[in-house]
Amino acid sequence: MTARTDLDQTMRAYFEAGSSSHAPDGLLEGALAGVGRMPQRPAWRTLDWWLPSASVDRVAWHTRRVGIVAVVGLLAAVLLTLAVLAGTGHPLPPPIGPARPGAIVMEVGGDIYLADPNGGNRVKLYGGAHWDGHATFSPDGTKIAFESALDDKSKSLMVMRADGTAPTTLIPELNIVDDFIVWSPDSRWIAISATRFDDSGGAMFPTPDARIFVADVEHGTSALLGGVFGHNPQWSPDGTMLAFGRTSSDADGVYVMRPDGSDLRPLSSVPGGGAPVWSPDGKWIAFLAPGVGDEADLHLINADGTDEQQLTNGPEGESFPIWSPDGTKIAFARMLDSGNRGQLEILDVADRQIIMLKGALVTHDQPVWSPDGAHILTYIFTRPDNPDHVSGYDTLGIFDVTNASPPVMVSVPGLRTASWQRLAP
Amino acid sequence: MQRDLVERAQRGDRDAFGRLAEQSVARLFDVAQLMLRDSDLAKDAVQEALILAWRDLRALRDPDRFTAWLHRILVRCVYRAASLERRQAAVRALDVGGDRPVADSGRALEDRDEVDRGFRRLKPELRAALVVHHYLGLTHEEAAEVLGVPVGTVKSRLNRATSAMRAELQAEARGRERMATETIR
Repeated sequence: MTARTDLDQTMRAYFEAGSSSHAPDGLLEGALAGVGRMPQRPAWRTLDWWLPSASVDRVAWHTRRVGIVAVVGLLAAVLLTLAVLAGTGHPLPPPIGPARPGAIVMEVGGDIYLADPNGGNRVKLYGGAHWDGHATFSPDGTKIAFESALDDKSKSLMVMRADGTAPTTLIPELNIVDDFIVWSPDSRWIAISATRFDDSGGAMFPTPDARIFVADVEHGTSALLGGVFGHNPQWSPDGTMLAFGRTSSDADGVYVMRPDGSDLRPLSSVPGGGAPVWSPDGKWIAFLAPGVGDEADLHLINADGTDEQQLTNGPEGESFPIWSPDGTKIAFARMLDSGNRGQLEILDVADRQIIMLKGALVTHDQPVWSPDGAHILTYIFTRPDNPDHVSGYDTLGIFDVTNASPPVMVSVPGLRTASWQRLAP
Repeated sequence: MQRDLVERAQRGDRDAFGRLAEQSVARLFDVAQLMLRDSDLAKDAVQEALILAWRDLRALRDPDRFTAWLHRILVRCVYRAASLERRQAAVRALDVGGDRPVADSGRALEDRDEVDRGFRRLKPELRAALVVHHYLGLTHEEAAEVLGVPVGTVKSRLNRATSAMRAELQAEARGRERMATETIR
């Protein structure tokens, strides 16, 4: 039965054998009963009338296929619409790395102001009779955390939307030590170092060292991490670790731990190390440690605690190291003028070359690298008398990191600190 | 004669349509039963086809094409019944009991059982192609009209169906030879 004709004959025989040449009893009667109840349709209501008969089934199939395509297309359109709506809303920048510079939020005279990326068009965002300051944009650029003083003794850690609405207290009654509000890369957590005051006004932790607190921004809760004394906490780029400095008698140097307080361990054996800052790729940590004449030098260490290197070694003290958004450079202030003012310098991590940014002496607060890495923002006291950084500076300086153009100097009397909003590229 | 009945039926004459149905019903049932291999499903398909044919008869432009047109409606009803059946009891398609070919003797009966097993394993579209081509004796073009697909699709389905049947029969033959060898040993 291998020949085609054999199979054809077999099939014919099979069909002939299977055919009965008569219909089962009742079939015709049942069909005609149905016919009796069914009215005929006008010809124009059938596809056969409008199309060649051979096309009708294909049209029916095409209709089903068109229906399927239409449903799929509709779903795609809905998804596209949602994507467009989301896109036209507020696309978020990546949590780490370069981003587009947005507004600058700054503390001026105890209130919080918002300004254009060039420092102009300053408008008051939040403030009142009490002091508010140290405003810091979240990495996604949607929120601002800040400190608010309710009385002379304590401050609260608060957060609000980037437009100044919905201010919420995260942690009340704190004595925030470092004035650094450090957002986690995913913008969901804030780490600070502080002491908490008890109801009687006395310090609950009456020690010279602060403890590290972590606040859950979304749920408005906070936690004291493992009773750890420390300062200058810094999140790792993946948000899984915190690096910080310790200066107590039994623990001195740079430490790391998980955000829940577990896995606490020293990172560097250099005594007095502190002010750690994580590189954007998470591989390195730059930090300060006392050197010649007890002035701080800049150090670098692998995030796993190996390959420690000293980057600067001079009579002047370095302060406020900060990584460029692309992770290729570290900016810091080399303090002059008895430590009251200094010059901004940038170290190329690859070749260790250092350039000085020309234009002005800067003062004693943390500079800010613009999200696109093109500028550094800092605070300047232009009056000839001794700077009083407690009362505030008088000028916002925006430095070109290539020295190709002179810094933009914006007069802002009463300026303290500032933060640059990151926007999606 | 048939043309006259069709034209009368198109004008709403139920008796004329009854005559047409009477002339066609046995053939329709055979076709449906061969395609579906289930007499109950075949009866349902035929009843539905006749009722739909009556409903849409006025759209038939050429009364001489009535039989082909009616078979096309039947094929649609068979597909619908097969689809429903697949959803309700997929396993039953492999059940070789039930509607068997008429009794025969010896080798012929054995061959027909093998063909029956192979045929039941085919998809309804392939079974329909074999039935309209081998049972109704339609050409590829006529089969295309009845099945509502292009001629190329008819050829393709016939080729796939016969290949599958041939493979099935060859496998059965190899099994028989193996059993015979083991029996001799």
